[in-house]
Amino acid sequence: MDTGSRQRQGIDLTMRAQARRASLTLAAALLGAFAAAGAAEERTVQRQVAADPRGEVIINNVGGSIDVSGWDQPQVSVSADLQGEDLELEVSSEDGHTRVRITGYGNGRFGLGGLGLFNFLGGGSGNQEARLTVRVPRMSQLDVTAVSAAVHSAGVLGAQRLQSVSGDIRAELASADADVRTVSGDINLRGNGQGAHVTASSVSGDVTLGNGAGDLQATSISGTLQAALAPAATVRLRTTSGDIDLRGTLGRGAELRGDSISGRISFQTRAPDGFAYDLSSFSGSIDDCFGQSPVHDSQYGPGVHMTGTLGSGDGNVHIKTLSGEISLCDR
Amino acid sequence: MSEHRPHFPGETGRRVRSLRELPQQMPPRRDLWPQIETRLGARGRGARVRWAGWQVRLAAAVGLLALGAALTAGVWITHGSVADDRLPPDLGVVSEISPQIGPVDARARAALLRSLGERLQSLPPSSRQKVLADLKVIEQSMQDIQAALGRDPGNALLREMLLETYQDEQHLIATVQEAGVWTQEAGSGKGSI
Repeated sequence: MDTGSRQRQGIDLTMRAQARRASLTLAAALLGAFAAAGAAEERTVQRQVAADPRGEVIINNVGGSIDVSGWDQPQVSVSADLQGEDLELEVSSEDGHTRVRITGYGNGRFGLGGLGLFNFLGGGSGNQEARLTVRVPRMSQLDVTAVSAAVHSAGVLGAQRLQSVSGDIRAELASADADVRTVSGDINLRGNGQGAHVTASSVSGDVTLGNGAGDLQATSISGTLQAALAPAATVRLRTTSGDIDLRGTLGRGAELRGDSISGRISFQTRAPDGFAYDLSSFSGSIDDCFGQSPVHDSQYGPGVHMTGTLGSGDGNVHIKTLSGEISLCDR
Repeated sequence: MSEHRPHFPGETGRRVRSLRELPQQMPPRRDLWPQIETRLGARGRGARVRWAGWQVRLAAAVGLLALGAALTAGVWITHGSVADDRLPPDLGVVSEISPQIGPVDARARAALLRSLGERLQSLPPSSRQKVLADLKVIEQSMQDIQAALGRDPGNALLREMLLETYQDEQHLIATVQEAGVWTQEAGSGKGSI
């Protein structure tokens, strides 16, 4: 190999090494930019506004959490831990309506903040989230909407409307109405033993109500429904494949209904004045704790049912399934 | 009332009493094929002249590839994994809802299921998967009930369950649609004031 060839080869090697270094530098810079974008700094913002003691408080947030509690002051106080430099807390109060909201979701650094890319990058909110702690007048009506944020409320005596797409909802209920809904989040409610009208529905999440009383309507497709009511008035529980478990006492004239396609239904209800019952299953079994045997609908085909009356039969219990087991007990 | 009678070419007004009396062949009044053939030939020759060059064909192939890639990337960026978002192919099998529900509702159901695909986009991926799984649970339940109804058509319990399961599906779809509104409300802060 002549000297010229060696020189050309040396120059080639030098250029390749420079190109490799440049590529590595570029890659490192890109990684750094992504890392910086991912590690969004967190900051805390606080606001407080005067509010109607019996007004409505509306809270909106996408990701993170919403923690609401009632207090005895005519003010709404908000503390927000914001992760994501574009997120802002807005609080306003007008004509008995106080609105708390987090804005700036989806305004990414890459200038492509459309919802599609938003979902693509991080399943909703990416690295942006806000943890909200809100104190509201105790008698306020609450209207909370979230996407993936978990919702928690306590000590609020007014009506509550809580909804989240995938976040779990946990709430303390008073005697006012409550309407709680999720798509995939679980719902966990705790009553104070006073009569209330509660509606809880989830597509795939579990629904639990403890220490409830009064009316309850709960539905889920695949989640389980568990409720404890004393006394229960009008209860309607329905699933497609989830199990249903109800415990408690029946009030006078109570009406209980449990329906499922393939879920197991268990009612364990005491009733001072007794109740009439009507249980039927197409291919599931029926079991009870008072010694009655189910009757086959046909000598040759499937289907069993059980009807009867305990005590004076003041209340009514109806249960039906396609293939799920049924269990009824009065103690 | 006027009597409708068939009219045939060359008909003389004689009543036809047997099929054998009808003509075996019936030539058209005008033979259009020669003109059509001429025009097709002219168009084909013109096309061959215009697309003769291999460079043009190569350019077209490259263009199509680029367009396909751009569309794929666009769909991917906008919607995430397409396969994850599509309704399962076996969903909607129970398109022929039993008479217990009725044909009008069956059409409404089909329309609702079609609209669900895009509504699902507004859900977080984990929720989307759960909703799709639950839709399949409902679908399977409907099939089970319909199979049972096939064996016992007069069973009132089964009819009631089929109707309620159908309502469950409607409720699920309505919830997904509402969840899209929740997402907008939560993101933009549009409250109910």
